[in-house]
Amino acid sequence: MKWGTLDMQSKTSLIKSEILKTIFRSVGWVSIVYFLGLFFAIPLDIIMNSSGEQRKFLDIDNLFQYNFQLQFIFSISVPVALSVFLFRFTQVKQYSDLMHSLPVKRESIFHQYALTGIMLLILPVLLIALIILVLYQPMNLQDFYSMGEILNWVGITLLFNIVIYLTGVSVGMLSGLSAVQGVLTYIFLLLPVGLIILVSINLPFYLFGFPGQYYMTSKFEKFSPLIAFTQMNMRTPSNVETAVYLILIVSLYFLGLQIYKRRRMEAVSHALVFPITKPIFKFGVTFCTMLLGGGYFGEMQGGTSWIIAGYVFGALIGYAAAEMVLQKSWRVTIHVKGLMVYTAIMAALFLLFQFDLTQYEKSIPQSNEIERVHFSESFHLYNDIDHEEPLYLKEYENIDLVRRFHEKIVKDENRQAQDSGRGSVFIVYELKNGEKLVRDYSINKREYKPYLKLIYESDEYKMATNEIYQVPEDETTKITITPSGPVTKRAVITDKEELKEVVQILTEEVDTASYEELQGIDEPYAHIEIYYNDSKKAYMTWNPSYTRFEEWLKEKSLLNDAKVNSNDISYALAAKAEDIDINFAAGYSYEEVFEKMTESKSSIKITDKEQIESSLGNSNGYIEGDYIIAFYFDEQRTMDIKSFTEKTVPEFIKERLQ
Amino acid sequence: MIKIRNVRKSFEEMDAVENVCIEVNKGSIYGLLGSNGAGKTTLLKLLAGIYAEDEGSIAIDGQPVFENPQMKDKIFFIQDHPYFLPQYTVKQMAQFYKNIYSMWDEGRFEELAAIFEMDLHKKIHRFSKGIQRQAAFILALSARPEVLILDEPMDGLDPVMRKKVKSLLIDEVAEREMTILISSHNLREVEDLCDFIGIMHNGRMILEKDLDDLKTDTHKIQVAFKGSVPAIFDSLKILHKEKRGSIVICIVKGDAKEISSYVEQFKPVIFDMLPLTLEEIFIYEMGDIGYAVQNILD
Ligand SMILES: Nc1ncnc2c1ncn2[C@@H]1O[C@H](COP(=O)(O)OP(=O)(O)OP(=O)(O)O)[C@@H](O)[C@H]1O
Ligand SMILES: [Mg+2]
Repeated sequence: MKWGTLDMQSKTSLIKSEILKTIFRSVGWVSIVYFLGLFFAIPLDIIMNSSGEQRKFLDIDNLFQYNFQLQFIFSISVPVALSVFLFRFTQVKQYSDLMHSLPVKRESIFHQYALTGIMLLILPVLLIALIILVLYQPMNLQDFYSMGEILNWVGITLLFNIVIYLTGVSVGMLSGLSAVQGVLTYIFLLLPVGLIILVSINLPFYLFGFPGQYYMTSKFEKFSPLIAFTQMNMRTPSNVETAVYLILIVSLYFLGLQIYKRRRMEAVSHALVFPITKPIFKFGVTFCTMLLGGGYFGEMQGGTSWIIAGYVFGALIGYAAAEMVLQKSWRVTIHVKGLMVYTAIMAALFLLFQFDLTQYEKSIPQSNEIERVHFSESFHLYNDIDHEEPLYLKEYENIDLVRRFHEKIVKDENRQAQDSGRGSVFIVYELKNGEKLVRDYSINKREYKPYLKLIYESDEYKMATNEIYQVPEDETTKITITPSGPVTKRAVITDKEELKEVVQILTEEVDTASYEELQGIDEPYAHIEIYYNDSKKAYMTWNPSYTRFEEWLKEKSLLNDAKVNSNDISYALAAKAEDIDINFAAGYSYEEVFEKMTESKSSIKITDKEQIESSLGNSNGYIEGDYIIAFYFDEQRTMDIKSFTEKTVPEFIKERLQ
Repeated sequence: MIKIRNVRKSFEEMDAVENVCIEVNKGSIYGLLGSNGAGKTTLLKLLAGIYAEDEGSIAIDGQPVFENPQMKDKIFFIQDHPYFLPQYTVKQMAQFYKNIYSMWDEGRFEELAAIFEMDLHKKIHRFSKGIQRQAAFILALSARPEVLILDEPMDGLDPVMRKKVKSLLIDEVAEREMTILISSHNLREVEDLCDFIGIMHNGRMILEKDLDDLKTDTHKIQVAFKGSVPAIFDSLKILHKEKRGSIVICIVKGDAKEISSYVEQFKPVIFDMLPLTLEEIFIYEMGDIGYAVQNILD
């Protein structure tokens, strides 16, 4: 291929066998080490775990799963090491003078070195694949994966290795120091991801509503081969990814070649060979450390003064470090002019975002532009991997409602800053023109209850968030009601008529549930699973507000099995929270609390069934109240611990604890 | 053969070589002299095609050198500190160059190795500095270059070796018209070798001389006259003149015969024409360029 065409060009730019020889002499060992490492990681592992007993515990369905950490370490280090050692001759002055006084064109030198390097990466992988192929039949590897997996492994490993290697080569052409080449290579490989993280942390400080997490988490790994490789034991790269990497390989190769051809050999031993890259590097580092400093202080301390202090501090450290690298000395001279220009640009950027000159904060699409809108309390509900499709509202009224709510939040921006509340709102507008507008706010939910109530109580929202609406009454086959609590009992309904009734009742209960009831912090009585259409299953909880459902269960004598009651409990212990010697904020276990309550003289024991029943009804699932109550469950010999507030505590407990 | 025209090379802000012009004929030996940092190495690396010139042109036989393998095939450059591929023996280096330089002469290599009694199978980096330099000479001469570029080649060689190397170089020039460029700090080190001398200072070529001309052109005469000194000096090219009693000593440029016949006309009482050392010529000729010249004469 490449070499063949070179042969044609002229007699003097033939590949020189002695150049290939010197390449093998100087970096052949890298290839050998890589081979041995891979041999240790894969074929040896296959052989050592070949007994029937060991095979039972093997959970392997592709080749990456053999010592994946080792393979990962090799794939990120070997190509970079190879690129550094291979191009040593561009980083050592006398070596460079020797090589570049030879009657060989630079282009030819580059092709010979770079391609031989690729070969040195390919050979060990192919050899290992060959060994595995030989082992495939005798070791019965078909029990774990098909032969195609071997090819897959070769392809993916080489794809990543070569991308990383050629990044190292291209960076090496920019730098005159091997150490800088190595470090810069990794910086480049991580740069896109790093920048996304830094920007996502910093922009929310200025842009009210900027969904940092959305940008940080979505398709994050695709922007760095190093991070993408960590997933190769679980997934194969998509076609698009593969294509991008292939394009990267070709472009990096020719980029490296072009840079090498333009490289001035006198700049060997300078950190950066091309003068124009120096300010880019210097201010690039300054910018990144500035964002890092501001982001760190902003997250840890909060407040504008801390953020600014973080910026100044980060920028100064980054600037000094970059200058040290460039000037190769601890004592650096500072060029004030450059620094001033940088400060001016940063100030302009600050103003741009701080005063929202881009209109980012105020831009809310018109209702008629919106196709549909996702509205939830967290990015994670949008990006939930278990659900294929997140919730969307499509009805005009609801879209308009979300929009108006959004407007209100934006209008209240200054108030939010002071009391960034406990709740958050995550909105994704999908516009008719295909664009997306994503916002993330942290708000005080109580203040916006009217809006939230309207949205949550809307039919569309309820339909979208409750699976019960998908259940056809006639095709329901079974319903199980599992009480929440340490009991093994449960209620099961299979009668056709009864099933129909329950589904109707439950649907009505959800229909009529108010925002307050839906948002209530009460623990659900039970978890309900509704089986329908043979294999499908809908899931919901029994909210304490569903009283008609409770009555129905009572009528059918199912209540006892559907809900924890005093029959499950042999006794309860109650005490004032302050009397129990436990620091709840620091973490605790139920056993610990129970033990302390048993020992405590100030706690009381309740055995009366009626009193237990009323305690069950009034207590709350969180250990936050003024009174703590521990229920002892006979059946599993475990306890459940709940609490009362001053308001909900039953009279008899209050009296006895006086 | 070698034409360097108005060449400039700068490193970042500093000009290392500025507006330098040199012409070297085939089969001659050109000595590049100058103090530390004068720009000699830079100029030689430009000529060897390692650096690209910023301005001007460098050509050998009318062809540029930079990125021109055909031309570079005829050039061999020995660095100021000889350098070899890591971990290579002389034999392996020879194989390497044999593959790279089309004119490589294996017979010559064996011959030279014998002359220098070189251990071919020892790693070169284990050799002493002087032996490494000998190895570099062996390899360079075996490549049969048309142009040999030597950066401070005598550095680290003992006097016996210097002589041996010099005579080898002179032989090679005489035999097959090889052209040599040689840099040095010291005039005396190369004066017996060079036909031409160029003196560089602060990146500029301040002086270029044909040594043979210089030696035959400059003369020291001592004259004394009866009575007053006649006005003979007005029509002579005098570089320097001093009076010791009645004797006038002066350094004169021009053809020896012409000068003596001219002076004889005035019937001097004493008239001697003395040979000048190269050193003296330089001192008289360039008194004003002081430091630069002083340095290469130490
Ligand atoms: N690679 C380089 N990068 C930057 N400056 C350089 C480089 N090489 C040489 N210089 C500078 O260029 C000037 C000329 O250097 P050069 O090595 O050509 O001098 P020289 O005449 O060979 O000196 P010496 O007699 O010490 O060998 C010096 O001031 C030197 O500092
Ligand atoms: Mg020098």
